[in-house]
Amino acid sequence: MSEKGSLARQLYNEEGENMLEKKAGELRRKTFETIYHAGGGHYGGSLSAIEIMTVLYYDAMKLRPQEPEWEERDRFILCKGHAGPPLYVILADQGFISSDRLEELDKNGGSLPKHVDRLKVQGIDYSSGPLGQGLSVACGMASAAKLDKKDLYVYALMGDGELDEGQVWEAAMTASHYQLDHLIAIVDRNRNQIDGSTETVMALEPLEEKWKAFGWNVQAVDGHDTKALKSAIETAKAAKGKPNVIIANTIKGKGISFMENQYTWHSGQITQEQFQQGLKDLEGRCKG
Amino acid sequence: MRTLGEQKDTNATYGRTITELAAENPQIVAVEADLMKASGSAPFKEKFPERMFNVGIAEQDALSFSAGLAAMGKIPFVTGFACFVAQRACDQAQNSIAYNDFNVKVIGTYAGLTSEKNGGTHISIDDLAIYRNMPRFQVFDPGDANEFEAILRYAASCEGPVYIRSNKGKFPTFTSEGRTFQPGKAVLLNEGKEIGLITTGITTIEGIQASEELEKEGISLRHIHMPSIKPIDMDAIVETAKKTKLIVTVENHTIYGGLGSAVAEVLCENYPARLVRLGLQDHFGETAQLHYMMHKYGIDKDAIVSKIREIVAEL
Repeated sequence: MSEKGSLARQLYNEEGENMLEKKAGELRRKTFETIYHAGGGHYGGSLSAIEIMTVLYYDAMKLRPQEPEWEERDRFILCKGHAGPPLYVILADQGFISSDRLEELDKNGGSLPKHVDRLKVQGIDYSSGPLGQGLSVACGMASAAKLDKKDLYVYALMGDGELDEGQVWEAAMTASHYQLDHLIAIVDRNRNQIDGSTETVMALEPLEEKWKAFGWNVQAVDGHDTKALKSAIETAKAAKGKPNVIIANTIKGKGISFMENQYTWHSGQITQEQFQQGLKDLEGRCKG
Repeated sequence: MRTLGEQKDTNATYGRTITELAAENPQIVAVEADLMKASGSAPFKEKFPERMFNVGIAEQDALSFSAGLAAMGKIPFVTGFACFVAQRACDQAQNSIAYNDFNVKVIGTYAGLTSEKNGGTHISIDDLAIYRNMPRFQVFDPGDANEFEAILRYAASCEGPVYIRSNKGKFPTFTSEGRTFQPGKAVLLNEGKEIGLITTGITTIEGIQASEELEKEGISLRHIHMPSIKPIDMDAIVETAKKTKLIVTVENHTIYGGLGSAVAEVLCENYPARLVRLGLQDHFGETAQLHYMMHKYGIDKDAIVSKIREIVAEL
């Protein structure tokens, strides 16, 4: 197995298929099923982040699933800790944890808590959940790596609603002040939070300008386009002297017809009929 | 009976000690939130500029940032006014640090009334209570600069989150230099029989003087210094209850949730005994000098002496 997990480095296979996109399709379906079997959960923000996590775990990040504590590995902070299910699905797929454990998600006495937990799950670098803290932690990690002259990257995946938290902007200043160019933040810009759209609850726009004003390199991409995400990460890695943020424009609840762009599906439970409908939606999408 | 020795400055002790520790252990780093002046960490910055991170006036960022450093194997010593590292950054201490079980050492400077003229908003009345209630945190309130140094050295050597009070100013010493600190171990200062006196932090200095004065009047105190608020020395508390008629606790902190509460919990569950708690009685601090407030709030030598005289008269 390569340090990149189970997927080959190249984006397209011999048949010209986009392997990352194909993998994302599998992971989306598995994530949807896993949350359903857990009795419900954070569908919206889990499904919007699938391609982002796929590109990170199957292409960008330097990891050794067989040696999870490998010191030179890239670090990943899921600041939006409620999007644990897709990360667990990936960790199971890559062999960090056993696939059987996916059935334990959110279960009493289970080993997979809703919000990711580093002490319970191998492959998690930081236990998150309380929004707004992850980027500061990522700054600390990137500073330590810089101090030790380690050539590793720290990735922080934030929710867009999370940007309401003031601490995010404290960390944004710190990253810029310390020129943490090995820090790559990704905003899952699905435009919805619990009480409504981000622009009606607490307007974030102009978002790119905000990050630029804080001294960051900013890129905005289609967050469901694996090729665009891969290329944005490569651009970020090549840039020097500034921290990087990729605003990944996504669709909350991506792939499930009745969930897409509905803030009400930040979290919730679905019926068996809705589950079947969701599987049909995903089937159609995969074939398409 | 313990006597008081030379005066030593808390901040100078901090700067010197963490610089020495950093020279011994390359993993030690310092994090500040624009309060190097309050912590005394300037010598560290001078010696190890690349290992000093100042995040500006942002305690929440400072604590989570420290968690990130610890995640990479560093041992961060992060400081801030005790009121702010306990209250404003409470969530970060609990979740970024304690929940993750990261090896971060939090130093609360200008602790309790030692914040003096900064006044009520800056006087940490409840930092011990806040940190005592966080799983995984050890909590210490050193009695003098020698003990502060011993605690810093212990913190650098142990794994896991630690909260240490830094009491601003120069205070007489009563513990010896170079002593090894033991968490969860009280220090017996006077082996009297009548009243048990349990003090922590700077109130121990007051307790030593009160003990001396009361001894002259024929009131003997069993005086215990309790720098380790968590873990707490249960045996020392129970033993004191067994050997005396009543216990008085004194702390530079609210009586709710700190030393007095911890002692009450131990007594109620193990050896019910009478207890009187001296400390801030459900009120804030104010803009004033330390000795003025300690007297007014009933935690200086005179207040301890008169309280114990009163108690003894009623027994």
